[in-house]
Amino acid sequence: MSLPPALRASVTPPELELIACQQLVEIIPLIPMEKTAFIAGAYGPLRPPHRTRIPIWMALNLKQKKKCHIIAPEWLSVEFLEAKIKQETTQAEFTKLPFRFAEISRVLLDGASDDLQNPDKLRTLLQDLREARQAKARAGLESLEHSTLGLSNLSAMEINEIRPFFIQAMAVLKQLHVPASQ
Amino acid sequence: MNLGGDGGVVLLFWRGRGGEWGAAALVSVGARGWRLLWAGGECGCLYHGLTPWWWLRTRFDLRRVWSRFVEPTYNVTVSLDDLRRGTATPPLMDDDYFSIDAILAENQKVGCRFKIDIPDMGHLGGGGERDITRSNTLQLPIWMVYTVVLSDWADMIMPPAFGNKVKNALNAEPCSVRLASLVGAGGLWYGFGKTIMEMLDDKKEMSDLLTNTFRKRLIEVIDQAQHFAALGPAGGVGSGGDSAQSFREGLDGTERELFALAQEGSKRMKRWYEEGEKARR
Repeated sequence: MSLPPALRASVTPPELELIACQQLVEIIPLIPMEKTAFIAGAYGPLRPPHRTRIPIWMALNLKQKKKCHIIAPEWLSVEFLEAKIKQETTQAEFTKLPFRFAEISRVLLDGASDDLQNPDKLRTLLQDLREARQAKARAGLESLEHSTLGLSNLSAMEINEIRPFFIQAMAVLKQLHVPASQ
Repeated sequence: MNLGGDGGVVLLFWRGRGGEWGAAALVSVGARGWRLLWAGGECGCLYHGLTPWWWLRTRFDLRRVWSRFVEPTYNVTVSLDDLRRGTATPPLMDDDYFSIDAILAENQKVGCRFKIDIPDMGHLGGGGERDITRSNTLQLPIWMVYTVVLSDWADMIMPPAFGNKVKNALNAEPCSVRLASLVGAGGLWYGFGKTIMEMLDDKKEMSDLLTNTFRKRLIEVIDQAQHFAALGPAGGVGSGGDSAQSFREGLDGTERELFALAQEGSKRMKRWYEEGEKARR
């Protein structure tokens, strides 16, 4: 196949970002707009100052043109993330977070940081959270088996990061494994 | 592509890196499977004429596709998706006849102590002796060992790569053993081990040795891969100390592949996070 080996096993982070941008986010529009049909569905109507829900890609586009304010999802707040980090560092298993939190938090922090409270603090917290979770995924390697792997509450981005070599490592273990009956 | 029940002749051809075309093989496909009618010499790239040439770039790929393509079923159907699936994750150390990894894993010699006299075969040992005599020890390639051992003509001597010395070292500290130097350049220690394991009666002990070694070394492999991904292209020199470098040099082919995968993945993540930072500035 013509794809480089690294791309065969999993999708790339920008692709995941694209998928995550299909999710809906709440906005306060600054311009009125009729209900409009897109390939993904019909969104609108926008009537300032009423809140409405549109896909993230559209919200970011409007935001860029200063035509809306994005309301951050409730998990993208300092208190929530601090609580999660506390859980993450005290519990053995991964804490539950939105499946695509890494992608969404990044695009919102990049494109709409003035709508968020304390974006710099959020960035630091997300980084801490990511590192804490990475350390756990690494610990999961030690218990890697040939047949099953249970790492629940892992997010899309994290799964994608570890997928290529976890699969390969499990394939190797499978080859080296002898069924108990022999 | 569907090579239907009535069959036919398929000309496989290759396209070289310079863009030239050439015929590589002629295969007849019929209800009873396939038969190679004629095959050319070196092939750079080869597949059925209806398929874009870029599917296959190396003859390793050719081997894979070929093995898929010639499945001896009554209706040979190869779709693009099949091919994609067939080549998506290269199987490591499988028993596939066409697998280049399997061939590399068997690229080793194993000592055998003969139990019987074999006349006129002394040249196999490379010496001037005319016959192979009883209790003679010869280094044989693995493909021959199978036959010789299974026919009870000789006993296999455990290769030094899995001898007691190595075993003890692995039990003490798996990361300090240089697996690559045990099997030679490009060697697959795990693949070789699996091949030997298949010939043993007691597979369990060997399997445990291989599995434990692999699992304990894996963490170090991934750690170092991520470390190097974080350093970027410029910072790769002179870091990590002697033991880390010695470990990297001692990686066997299987681990090397994992190292590359993990490094590539980490690099992409890093690039993605940094892109965001750049956009902010």
